Amino acid sequence: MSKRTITISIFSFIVIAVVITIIILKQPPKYYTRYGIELGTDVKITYATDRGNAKKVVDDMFNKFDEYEKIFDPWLNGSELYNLNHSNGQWVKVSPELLAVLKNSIVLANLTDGEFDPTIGRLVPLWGFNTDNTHEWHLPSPQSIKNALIHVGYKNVEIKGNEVKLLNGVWLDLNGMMEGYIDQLLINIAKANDPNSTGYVDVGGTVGIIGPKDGSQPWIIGIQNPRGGPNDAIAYVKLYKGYVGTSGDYERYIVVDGKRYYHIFDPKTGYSNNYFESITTVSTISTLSDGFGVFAMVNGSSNINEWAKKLGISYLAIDENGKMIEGPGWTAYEYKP
Amino acid sequence: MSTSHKIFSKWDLLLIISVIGAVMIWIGIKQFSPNASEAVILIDGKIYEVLQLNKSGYYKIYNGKTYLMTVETKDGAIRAVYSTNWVFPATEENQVSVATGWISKDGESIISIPNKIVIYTRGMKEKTPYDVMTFQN
Repeated sequence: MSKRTITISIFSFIVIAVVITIIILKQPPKYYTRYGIELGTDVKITYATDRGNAKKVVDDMFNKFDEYEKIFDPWLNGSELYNLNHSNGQWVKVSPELLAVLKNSIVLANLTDGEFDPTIGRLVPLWGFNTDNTHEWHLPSPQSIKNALIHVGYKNVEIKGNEVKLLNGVWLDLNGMMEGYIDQLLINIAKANDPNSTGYVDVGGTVGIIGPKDGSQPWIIGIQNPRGGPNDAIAYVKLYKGYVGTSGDYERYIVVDGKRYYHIFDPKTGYSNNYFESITTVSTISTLSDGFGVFAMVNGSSNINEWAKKLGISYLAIDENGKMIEGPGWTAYEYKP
Repeated sequence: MSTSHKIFSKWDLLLIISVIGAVMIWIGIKQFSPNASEAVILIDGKIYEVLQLNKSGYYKIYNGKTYLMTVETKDGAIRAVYSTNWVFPATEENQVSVATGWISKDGESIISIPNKIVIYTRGMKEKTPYDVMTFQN
């Protein structure tokens, strides 16, 4: 091989290597996305990292759902929450995960004077909303609701260290904050692998941001039209960090004599209220992204701006006539394609 | 200085440009060529089938021997036309997957919670304006 051929080869190799390196460096992070059905809802995780294998990290995150189900599913015989609800007023040692969601729920219950209340557990099966079988969903008798309300009230929950006692036969249903909290736990796994990793976690429509899209751009989150299909967005949110969650009246509901009844109950009456079709909230606190929405569906619009400001929450509500109502600071998150 | 002492002759330069050009074209094709439009069908998080959406047809989805759903592909789109589940007989009002209708953009999906089926599209001409959707929990 002549000296000139070698020189040409080396020169060509260097030029090609430099160009390929530039292309690779300019590439946005390669996102790995996995879909699944977990905890009776759909889950989507999108993740990119420079450290290790993104697929393995996402698989590890998905593997945690079995554990979460055994903690939080109130209708799964033998789950931690099921056992607590059937503990007949005894002190029960609980996991840090259950304790965290319960403590956050009680804080919000105290703040809202019980308009958010995690002890509405006995009302749920009364309406049949604890099952996916729509044939089980029905309007209970007023007397059965009255009877169940005797066993509702957050002041019946006592917490001592890592032990919990439920008085007066109350049943907990932690769905009002569980999904946001699970988002947070999964984000912790992603960040433990790589603090600079990016992506998002979507557990049942509650979305938590791991890191900005491609490292610097916001993720665009559609807000489902409460009277449209699952892929039909009515508005959009842009988020670099934090959590967004939605509460609404459009998935678990029945219509009786023209009136819509859905799965979020006013703890004082045992029935749902028809102030909003949905409310979407943005928060830096995972449990509040869901919890505030549940509270607002019960409370209506009378003083939610005051509460939103107090709790550092922005929201977009869609009232019973389909009109959009923007909460304080919403414009900072609003995205118009 | 005579031309014989130049590092590259004009033929050498032509060769270098040709080689680099060919490699660049190959990289460009690999980077920017669109994927075929297809729908990925997952059951319980695992890929069950990938359907090409340039073909029209009906496809039945089974979990083992249990029939779960029928989907239709046509004109670069896919929809669920019937869905059942293990727990109770399917009726019109509980087939959310069927009510979803056609999906034809990247970012859209069809979900059947009772059957643990997720269908999503990839390589489509259009993308939804959003990356992910928030909905009631």
